[in-house]
Amino acid sequence: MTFTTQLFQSENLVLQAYDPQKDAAAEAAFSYDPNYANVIDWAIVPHPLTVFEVKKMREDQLKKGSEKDNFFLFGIHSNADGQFLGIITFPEVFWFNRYSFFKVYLGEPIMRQALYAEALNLALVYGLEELDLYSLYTSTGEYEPEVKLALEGAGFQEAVRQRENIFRDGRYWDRVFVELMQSEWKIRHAEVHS
Amino acid sequence: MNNPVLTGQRVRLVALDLEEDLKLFEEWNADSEYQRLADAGAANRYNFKLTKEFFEKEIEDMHAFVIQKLDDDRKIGMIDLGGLNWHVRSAWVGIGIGVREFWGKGYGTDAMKIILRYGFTHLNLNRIQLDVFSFNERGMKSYEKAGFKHEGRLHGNLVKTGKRYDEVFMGILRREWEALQSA
Repeated sequence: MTFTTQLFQSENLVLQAYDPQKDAAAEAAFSYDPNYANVIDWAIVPHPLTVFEVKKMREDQLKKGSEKDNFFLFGIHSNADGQFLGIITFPEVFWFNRYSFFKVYLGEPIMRQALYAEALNLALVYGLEELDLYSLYTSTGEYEPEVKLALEGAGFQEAVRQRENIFRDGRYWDRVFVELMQSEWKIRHAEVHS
Repeated sequence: MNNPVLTGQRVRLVALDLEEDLKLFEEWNADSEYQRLADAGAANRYNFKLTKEFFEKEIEDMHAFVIQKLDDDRKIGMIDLGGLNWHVRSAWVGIGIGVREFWGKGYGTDAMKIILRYGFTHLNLNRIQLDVFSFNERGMKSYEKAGFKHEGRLHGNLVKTGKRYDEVFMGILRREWEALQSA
């Protein structure tokens, strides 16, 4: 038997092991984006982070994750020049129930526009094929319309709308959880690749 | 001591006693159904020393209370506000009535009403949310009585006895709670 899926490579992107020494500086630069805060922890106050903070956070997470085997973090890099573009993270896989929250984040708006769907597909293949999870969910909302649209385009459906659970630009926004079942994704995935 | 904010019609909320109350938690957790209603993970027996160490480490960041009956001072459950997001002014609430004979008798609803009052009038929160499992219909009815609205569900997120159940999300906004008080 052979496996035809390349889990860590797509047309324009390659997933690398996150390297706090090399990647933290680039990631800290992303923290000027208020949407970045939701990637690391919904409960933190959005503010620019120092390289030290990002490096320490990622080192701690990688250490704890290796002990519990329920945390996955990848650096998203450009295939062409190796540039660090963002992250894919599954911060806590619930093996007992076989589901996970996950986040795909690309730091530069132009990269988000061009490559979010491709990065998302890498995350879905990893979560639903390699980790073999029953379902995946993530948070989004009307405050990031391009991300919400890309998620819906990949088959995600709105499951939960937590009213007024994001504060951004002087007003409240709803925090929306969208979900995708492995069974539905398999059908879509097979159609796309047939 | 009675604090009017923390006192309801049938129960009051009191601070945890990290010796005596943790022994009660141990008793309640011996009822696996209690754990299955409260926890998304596998029911388990928890080492008392480790539980105590957990609370000693985390208690400063918790708003956890024991639920005590007004008529005889018996402690029957616990309730806590956690995952506080001060930026958004929201929090998660968790509740468990550990003594089975007091299930479905309004004690949990009374405790929930107290903690909503505490959260909105003392912690200045804008919203309070919870998740509950779709098989826990008694819990959902109680939360609806306290004013929570359904905000959706993650389908099949939980496995119990070989079957999948939904994780149901509910929330209440401060203005909705205020409207209930003046109704």
